[in-house]
Amino acid sequence: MSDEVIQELFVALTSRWVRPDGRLAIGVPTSRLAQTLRLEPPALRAKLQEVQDKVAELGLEVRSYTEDGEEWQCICAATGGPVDLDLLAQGVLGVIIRLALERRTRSVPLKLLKDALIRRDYITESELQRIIRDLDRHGYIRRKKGSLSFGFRTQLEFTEEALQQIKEEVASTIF
Amino acid sequence: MRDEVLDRLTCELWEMASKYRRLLRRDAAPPTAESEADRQKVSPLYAHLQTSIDRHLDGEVYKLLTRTQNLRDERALWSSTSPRRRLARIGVEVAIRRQPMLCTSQRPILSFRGLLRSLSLTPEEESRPQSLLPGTKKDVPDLPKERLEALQIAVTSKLGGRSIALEELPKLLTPDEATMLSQMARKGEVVVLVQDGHVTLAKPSGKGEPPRTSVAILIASK
Repeated sequence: MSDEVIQELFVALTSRWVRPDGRLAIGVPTSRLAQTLRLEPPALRAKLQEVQDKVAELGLEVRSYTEDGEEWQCICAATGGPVDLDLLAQGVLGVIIRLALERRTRSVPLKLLKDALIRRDYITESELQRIIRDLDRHGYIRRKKGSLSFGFRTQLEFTEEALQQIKEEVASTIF
Repeated sequence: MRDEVLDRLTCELWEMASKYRRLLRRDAAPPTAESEADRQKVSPLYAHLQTSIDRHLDGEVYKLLTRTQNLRDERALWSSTSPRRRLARIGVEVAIRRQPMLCTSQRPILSFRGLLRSLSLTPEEESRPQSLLPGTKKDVPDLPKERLEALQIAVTSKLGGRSIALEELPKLLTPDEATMLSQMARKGEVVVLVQDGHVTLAKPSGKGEPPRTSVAILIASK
């Protein structure tokens, strides 16, 4: 594969999209990639592996995720990178992670989150609403019928071990 | 008689381990005095441990007592800081455990669903991977200001509030109007959404929202 193709694929895999409902998506759907490059799934996998081999030296890796039943391909940083959220928003995400892991369904009733944060003066209601909107828009959580569940980015960007560690950190900090 | 003593010892260790496991699951830590009393109760049992189960249980109890003490210490330290600061601290813990998705562009340059479906490619272009990208950035050629304004009005009146099939678009817009639409989309003045083969114009994002810029140059390139 030529460097030119690698460059194009790199840009496509690291592109940001806004869905019609305003939520963010990152990367390219696998089906569209196959369609545009006119490749069968095995050949596409081989191409993506070539991209993976190239970007590994930069501390990056090609990964896939599923959102609304559609598989997407994207590139993740192996160690760190720019963030879309401020510290408070990431803190709220940490609390959501803890509350979700305590429940078998891994979804958190909004009321429970408000009880944990607003009633104990961690944050104001308007701030929480803004943060939840941001988390939803950036793909970290999904809002559904008064409850919150993990979005594709939380599932992709945090390993199970990292989620458990965050849960323990929250236990000693939020009380 | 000896078996009864051993059974009692096992039961005692088991109950102690269960008590602290239950408390830690609820992120609760009993007062220091209570934990210390429990530790003193368990401490002399060490001399009577005989089976591996008892030794394991004894170790488990000490591990749980240590975790309880850690939790108590951390809370004591954090209690002197404001709740807001504690929440921000969790943010740090979350940030360092992320393996973030990578974006090379801070502004989204591609419209959802519009990217691949709305491409009208010549046969030569079809085999090129550039088709993944939005294409050219031609602006409307130098035209008088009045003509530009007229083009803008024409575009918004033809497309505003309507959902138009993608294939109808080239028939509906003149080349200059299509280029103007591209330019307006690129500058973020309008958002062109392509969904289920239909094009609609949407308002640009508000302050603080992610920009919803889309690229319509492909219509012009037809």
